[in-house]
Amino acid sequence: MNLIVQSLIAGLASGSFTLLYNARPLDAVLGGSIGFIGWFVYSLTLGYGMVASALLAALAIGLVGRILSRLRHIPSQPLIVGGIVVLVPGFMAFKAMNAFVIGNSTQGATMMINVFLIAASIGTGLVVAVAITTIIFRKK
Amino acid sequence: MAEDIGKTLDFMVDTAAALMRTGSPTTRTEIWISRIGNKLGFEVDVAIIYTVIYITIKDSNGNAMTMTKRTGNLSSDFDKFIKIDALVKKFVDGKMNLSGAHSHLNFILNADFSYPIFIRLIAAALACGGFEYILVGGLMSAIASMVLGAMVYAATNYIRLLDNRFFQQFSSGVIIAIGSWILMPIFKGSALNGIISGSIMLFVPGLLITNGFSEISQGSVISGTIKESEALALLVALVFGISVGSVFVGGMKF
Repeated sequence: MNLIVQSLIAGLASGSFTLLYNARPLDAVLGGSIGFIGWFVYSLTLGYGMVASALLAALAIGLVGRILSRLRHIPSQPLIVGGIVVLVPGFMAFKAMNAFVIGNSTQGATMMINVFLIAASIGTGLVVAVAITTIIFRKK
Repeated sequence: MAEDIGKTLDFMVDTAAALMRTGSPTTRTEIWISRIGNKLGFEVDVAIIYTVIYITIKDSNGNAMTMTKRTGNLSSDFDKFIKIDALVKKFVDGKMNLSGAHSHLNFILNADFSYPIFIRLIAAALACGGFEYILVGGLMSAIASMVLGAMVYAATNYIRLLDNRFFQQFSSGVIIAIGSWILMPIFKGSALNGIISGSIMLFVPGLLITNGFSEISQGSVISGTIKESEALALLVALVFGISVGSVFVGGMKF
């Protein structure tokens, strides 16, 4: 139940975020739905570690985003951005940089490595999703 | 024929700049621009390195022309991006001629499709509150984040002192630090850590970090690396802003 509520809030946040980038209402709703799916997959697979779960969530977001964009005949970027914004390690990046500023370099370095690993896993998940959908769409 | 080359190149450069300014990924823009040139029978070489666009086209007689253009600040406007993308598709499919497509592109660029300020503020508040709730937790902190996030969004987007992103990030950090300290006693039960975590989400360049990695992995190494560097600079500005703001309010620990 808690997972569903959290995913709904994540969907609301990502839909609102998409709206801030001037997406039309339907695209914002779709971006929000993708954010819901992304957070659901992320939370469900968190037991495997943050990097692996971010990769799986980004893969799910990429696949759903590409399929929806194909159906809507629009680029996938506006839909995917809304979805991945809940996954991007922004707050952790902030905490890492803040640790450097207050002199706690070891903690800062550890966190920053995690930030780059998570960002790389999100990037990888999206690239794999693009590759898979490109192969599928080309066959049709 | 030389005039045709000139007009085509103008359209290609303007389209590339418009796509990049509205949030198109580098690889996609390069593919579209090549298709426009190929459609008109030109050989095309296009390279986009973050804010700089280089396009060379060559006709069947061997006449070549090159144009370089700086796009300035890159931002995202998904509505315009989708409209320009559809326009390029129409052109490549042969449903529009060159002059018609160029004038339609200018129409899209000059039109204002943005939402009214109150809708944008509500969206900013919902985004900040939602992020706070899922990342840290706590209802009162989420509400305080909504208030502060909307205020800082309005301050940085509508009261622009300088058109400098680094300064905007820095000033956002200062306002967030002071604002969270003021709001914490007003919203009883809220935590400083939570309020800040929600309000900074609109300013943390997490998306830039991720997009940078995507571009590097798709082959646009220079563009991706520059995005990573910019993200780091923006993050430093935000954190320095919060640090300076916290000095005013007596120091904070996260």
